[in-house]
Amino acid sequence: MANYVMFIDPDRCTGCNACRIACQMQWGLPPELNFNSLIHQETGKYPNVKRVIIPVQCQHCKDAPCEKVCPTSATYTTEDGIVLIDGKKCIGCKYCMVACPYNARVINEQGVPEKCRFCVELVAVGEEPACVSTCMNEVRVFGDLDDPNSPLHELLEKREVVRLRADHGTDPRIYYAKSKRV
Amino acid sequence: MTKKKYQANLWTYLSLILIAFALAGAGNKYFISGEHAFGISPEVPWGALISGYVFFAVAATGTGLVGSLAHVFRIKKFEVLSRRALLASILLLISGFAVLAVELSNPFKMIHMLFTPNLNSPIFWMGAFYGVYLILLFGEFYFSLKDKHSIATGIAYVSFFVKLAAITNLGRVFAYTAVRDFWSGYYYPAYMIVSAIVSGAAVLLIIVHLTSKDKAEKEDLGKTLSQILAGSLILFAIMQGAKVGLSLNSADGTVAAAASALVSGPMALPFWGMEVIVGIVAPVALLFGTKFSSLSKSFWASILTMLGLVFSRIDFVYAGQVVPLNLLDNTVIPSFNSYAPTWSEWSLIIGALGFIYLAFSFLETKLTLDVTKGEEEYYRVKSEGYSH
Repeated sequence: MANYVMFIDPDRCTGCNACRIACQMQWGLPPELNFNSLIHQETGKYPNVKRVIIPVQCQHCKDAPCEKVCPTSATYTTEDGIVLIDGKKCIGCKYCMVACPYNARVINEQGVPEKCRFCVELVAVGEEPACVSTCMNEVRVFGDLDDPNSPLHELLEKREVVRLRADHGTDPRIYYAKSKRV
Repeated sequence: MTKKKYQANLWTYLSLILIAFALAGAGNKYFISGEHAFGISPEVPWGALISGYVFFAVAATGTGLVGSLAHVFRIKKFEVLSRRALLASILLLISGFAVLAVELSNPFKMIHMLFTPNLNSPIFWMGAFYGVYLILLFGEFYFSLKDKHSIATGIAYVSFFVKLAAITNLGRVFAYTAVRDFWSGYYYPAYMIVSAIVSGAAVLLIIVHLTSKDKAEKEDLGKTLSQILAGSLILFAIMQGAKVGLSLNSADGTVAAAASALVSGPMALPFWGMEVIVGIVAPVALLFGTKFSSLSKSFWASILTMLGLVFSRIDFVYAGQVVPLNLLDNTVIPSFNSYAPTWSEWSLIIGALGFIYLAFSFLETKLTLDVTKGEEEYYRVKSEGYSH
């Protein structure tokens, strides 16, 4: 049993979208569907404008609102903390989409509101999620927080981190380094 | 049992056209466009078909609630309506389920609600309560037709509490989503109950106008139902006014933005034009203008009310999703998510109305929906027993 989390450093993101494309290729998604995206946040006034690019995806919340509302228990959390959806049980009511504070889900061609799966099949064989391994700038770091040798410990200790919309009480598993640009 | 020959008329053919339109809309989803048949998006995942389901389910519950004035509350003048109220409730609820089934991507997987239910999910309870309600409606209707009124009355009591639970839970489906601030709180469960009474009174007025043959009975029942409709409409208007007014001045920016989308944003035209003027002001003016004594005007007031309610459901479902979610902080993004119902979505709602008219008018000729001597006697004895 692991305790998977992800660390994202927005200040390292160049906005190349390789993470989105790697994810789409990994899961065979059509161009209009994606499980991760980039938010371009601008602050300040001309000429002192700053921009930060924030990669967003399913936050694999420990208290996932999508799991709470699913009538058939199609959405569930694995023992390793990954939030998944079982397409065989999903009726397609889209309640999970309505309840998610992160707009993380998209309806796939089978009518299932799919989302980032932390590439659970790759992780099971010791590989990293596609968005992590493809990134040229190591924006994302994925690992097991229960593994004392994980580089995550150092990152989470050294950097000031925030979690997206923690005010919703969702307890997300993705930690963002606080941007120095905003 | 009185059986008459069903005679097709202009409305029959119009209903068949509407049903064909709905089948085309459903066919577009299943065989051509898939989920793109509907105007929904990841930002606005619930559209007009969820609104349509709410419209029909609330109308079914409201018709049952007002209809229960006969079997549960023993108000004699409503006895004449009890069977027709039950039949209308059944047809409205079946229509609601049919609209919802097309909206759902995989309706047959609902079987998993039995094997792996999530008891925390309001949608699970929505399915449970409305499923049981439909069974109870069939039971009460069947035993009522068979003149087994003690059983029908027993079912009516159980059914009364089930429908209250179902309608309150329907509001909770929306209120439960913590991130859609416009829906959260206790307002929408209350909205559902009051608007159920509005739609129940309107549906029963339409039925009285179209089916009742006894002039005195028509006038008496029509007046009472008109008063119920006017009273509940005024209460509904006050509640909606308070909700929108308080929301506009809410300290929560997303709630205020959703309310401004209703009154001066992308929903302003359906809100003011259809929900307020057509759905509330015009019917209230018609009802008070005739002092509730003209059944034909009350009938038109009811039609306008139901039309306004369709838009009320679309407005409130869209209003909960119109403000874009801010993924980073709790400030309001100064734009609105766009949504417009497609022809496929309209076709299913309109087609369901055709189905209800066709099925009701057909069954009106095939079943005995008037009060029988046995029924009259049963409730007379019961009410005397209570008064002693």
